[in-house]
Amino acid sequence: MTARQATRSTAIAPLLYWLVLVAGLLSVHRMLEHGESTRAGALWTGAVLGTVVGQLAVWRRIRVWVLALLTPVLMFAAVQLSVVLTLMVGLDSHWTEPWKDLELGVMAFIPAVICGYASLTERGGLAAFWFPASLWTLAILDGADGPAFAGAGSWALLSILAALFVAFLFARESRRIALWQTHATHRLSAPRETAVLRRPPGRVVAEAAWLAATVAATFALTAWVAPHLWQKEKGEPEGLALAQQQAADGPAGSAPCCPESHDAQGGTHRLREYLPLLKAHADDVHPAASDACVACREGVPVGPDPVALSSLAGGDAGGAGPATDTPGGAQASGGDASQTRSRPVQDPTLAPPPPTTPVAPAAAPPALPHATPAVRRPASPGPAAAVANPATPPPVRAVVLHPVQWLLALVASGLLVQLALRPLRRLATLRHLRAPLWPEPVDQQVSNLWQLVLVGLRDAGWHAAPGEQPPELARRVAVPGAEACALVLERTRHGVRLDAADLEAMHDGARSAYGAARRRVGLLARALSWLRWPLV
Amino acid sequence: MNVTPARRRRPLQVFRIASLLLPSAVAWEVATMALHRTQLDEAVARALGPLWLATLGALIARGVDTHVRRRALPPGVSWSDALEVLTASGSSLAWTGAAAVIASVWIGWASLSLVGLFGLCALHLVALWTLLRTGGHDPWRRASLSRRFVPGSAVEGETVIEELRLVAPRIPAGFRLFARGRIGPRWPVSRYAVQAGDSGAEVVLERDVGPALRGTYDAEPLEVWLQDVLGLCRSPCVAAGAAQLTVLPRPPGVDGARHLLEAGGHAEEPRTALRLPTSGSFRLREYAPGDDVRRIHWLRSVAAQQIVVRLPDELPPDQPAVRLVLDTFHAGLASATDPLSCRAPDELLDSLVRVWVGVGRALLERGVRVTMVTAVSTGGEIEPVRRPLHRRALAQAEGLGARAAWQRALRPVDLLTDEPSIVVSHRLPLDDVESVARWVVVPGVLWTAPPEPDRSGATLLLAHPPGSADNRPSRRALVRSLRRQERADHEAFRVLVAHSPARHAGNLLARPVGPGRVLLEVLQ
Repeated sequence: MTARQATRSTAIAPLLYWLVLVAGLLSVHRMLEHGESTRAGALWTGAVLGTVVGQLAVWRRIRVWVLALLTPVLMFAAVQLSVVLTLMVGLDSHWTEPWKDLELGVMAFIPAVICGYASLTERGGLAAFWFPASLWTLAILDGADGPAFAGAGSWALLSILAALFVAFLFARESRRIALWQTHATHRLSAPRETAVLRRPPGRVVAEAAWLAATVAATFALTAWVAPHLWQKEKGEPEGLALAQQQAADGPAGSAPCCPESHDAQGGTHRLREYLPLLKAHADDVHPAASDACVACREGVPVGPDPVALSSLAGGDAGGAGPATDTPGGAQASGGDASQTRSRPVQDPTLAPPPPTTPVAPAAAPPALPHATPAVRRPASPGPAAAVANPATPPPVRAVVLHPVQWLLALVASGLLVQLALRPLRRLATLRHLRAPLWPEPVDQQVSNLWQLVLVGLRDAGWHAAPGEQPPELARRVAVPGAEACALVLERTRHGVRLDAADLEAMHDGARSAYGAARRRVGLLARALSWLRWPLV
Repeated sequence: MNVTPARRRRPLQVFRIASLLLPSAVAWEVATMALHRTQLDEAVARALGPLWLATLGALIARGVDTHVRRRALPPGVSWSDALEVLTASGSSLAWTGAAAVIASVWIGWASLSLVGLFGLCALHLVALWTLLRTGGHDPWRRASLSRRFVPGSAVEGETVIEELRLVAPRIPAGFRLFARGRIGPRWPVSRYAVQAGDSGAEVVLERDVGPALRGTYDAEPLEVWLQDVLGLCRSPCVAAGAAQLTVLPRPPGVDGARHLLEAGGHAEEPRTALRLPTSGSFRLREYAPGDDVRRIHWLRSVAAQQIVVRLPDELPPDQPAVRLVLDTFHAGLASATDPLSCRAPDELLDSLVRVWVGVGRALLERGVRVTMVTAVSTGGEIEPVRRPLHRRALAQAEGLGARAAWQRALRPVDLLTDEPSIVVSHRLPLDDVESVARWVVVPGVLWTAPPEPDRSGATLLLAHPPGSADNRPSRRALVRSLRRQERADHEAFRVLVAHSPARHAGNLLARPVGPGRVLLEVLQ
């Protein structure tokens, strides 16, 4: 392994770690809403700064106990600095909950330092992956309310996370090998170039398949077991007052917003996670609501027309209690990761409603949108919402793509285009090598035909060793026609005059060698050769 | 070549074997006990249960296979070597993953459960794949590994290239092939990694192992093993790649070789050639009574009109002959069971050989007939070997120097004869018998360097880049221990090569005066 290869191998692991981290931060950022920009800022700052500190420390070979001593000092200084800057710049007027945000920043900073440090250590791979994974977990669990994933988005995120985990282990191992080959207590021999004389084509497919199978199996097993380990905790009524006010008032001249999850009687819960950013869900008991409500986002109606709640209210008025609990309703609607955020409808001027009793679903056949715990975003209606009000047409919602999705789509498109162009490039190149597309001198034509031979040999897995002369290569591969081509090429190199017969012999030999070499390998290898670039 | 001694590896191997299944079992025992969830039990039993059973079955199968084939195993390979599948990273991942699952149960963070399951699932999948694909000799069945050094016979200090040619190595998907080895204790270690894409390929790997160190070597065999691309599991090591290398000594230029001739008295007076009476045509004189009549030069006599006789040609002083003996006898340094761990004994021997060959060449250039004599091992026996030194055939003597090693069988007096002798040794003569010869002393103090100071013990900083296995506390402790032993051995070496200043008069001291130069000084 040369120094350049070693540098490249050692750089991939930290870069991949940053990719996982930033993608996780973007996912969380997307989950947070407009009113939580300061929280997002604190999270970004803590995570990025902590990771920088951790990786800088490990890059400078600082021992872990030194870092453990330095981290509290750095953290204290950062908090002090942020407070001073806030006061000086005057951000405090926009900063509603500075201490909570600082707490979040610190909560992100400490594990970011530890995991950033561990990301480059020998045995800390899994520990290092926890912090970025915790960010991804927030996005995966967004909307989930039990031992199940919230929807296809969560599955997709988990599969990507599994792939990144395997890729991270792969990159770490590549880095370890690079270090193993270049650093040791005892003296190591100096690396030189590796010469591949022959390599069976198509092995890269087996490698990719193995990695894909590992990713798939890891993902499947984790997705099967992990939800059963998730636990709930009591939710905090964050922003409750604002949401209550918005829900009670509703948009001007319209119905109040539909309740989401919090209620006065049953309380809320959410899945337990390190960073307390998951939205709470209502417990099984749900309150009565006003007669009509509308789906809102930040207090702004975004859903369909107001939903008549009189049937539910009537039931409630009858003293039998509202039909608020729909079996599976929480999971069905909770699975919608793009619901509109809203808060329970509570009129501050009214007394709290009397205790309610859940009734059987049969008592209220159409499940009500407001009665299900989380109908928060209109982007993708859950099945419960569709059933809830058959008279209301499903709302037309815009598909909002996340920047990461844009980026992934762009990268995937670029790769696909590049891959699709390779056969065309090969086709054009081979066409020119066989018969020049423009007039070329004889020696150049001879060189082109030798290149054609080399392409065929490479398709069959033969490589020219460094310094190996064409006749030697031709003798080694023993492909019909190759030696004749090598002979003509040697004559050209030494300035011996060629005539038309030589050029014709070269033509015949090159085509014969190209075909004979390719016939030695299987169909798959021949097909894969059309995707290879460079050709030689 | 293992960094950790075998006797210390056994507990580590048992720990790693246990790490394959124990952490997972503990984690799920804790999880099911704490959560009391039927669905969790079901999921674990159906999802991970078959995986564990398959891993356990493969482990047992490998253990049985190792037991059955125990007679065919190479010496030094035990059942634990065959069953040790996990690497350090894999073992760490197993315990970290289990800890994450347990923590997710106790603390409740969902991310811990995801990370823990990622780790455990990936580990068990890779471990199972490793147990299935890398057992026995199957991976090496059709592979060919050849190793050679270029040049095969080098001169001390030259660059030597180690060339490893792999033909059709069978590397399962998801694995890399690793090889590690060195020529000998003083040589650098070569480390190779071959990608799985090179399975079935023909690959030539090269490493620059120079500068060459004097000696004849049967290179230590390479350790070859497979390791997965995630760094979690590995196969047992196999030994391969025997190769030979000869490194001839590079003789230095010797200043002061004339002292050997002047003081030795071996340069005799000129003498006449003992040839036929009729030979000789250059020196003529008048006939004197008593001259051999056969020496009369008749043609000149006719021309000179008097009887002229031819005198025999006078030969230059005869080439003095000397036996140049290399003293490699040292009971303390030649210990095969407990050799000193410092480099000084080898450095001193290299210096002795260099001075020996250098003095021989210097004497040869001054017209002395030199016979190189030393004791070398031939077929396991230490025998005296003599090689005449010729101007155009130095390689024989240099080859003899390449074979020289410390021995405890033949003392210098055993190599001396009636011929004038010069002994190149690390010490002065001990008694009158040895004092018959002249001694060129190569003192260890002048020709060896003390061990390098230990720089691996920096308090605040790691000695190696993070991620390197040499940063492990166990390895650091081992390296510190080795360094301490090296320093102690160097002190012991200094005591062993110390000699009495008696009987130094008339002998010579070899002193390095620069790169490739040696000065001989007469001791007063």
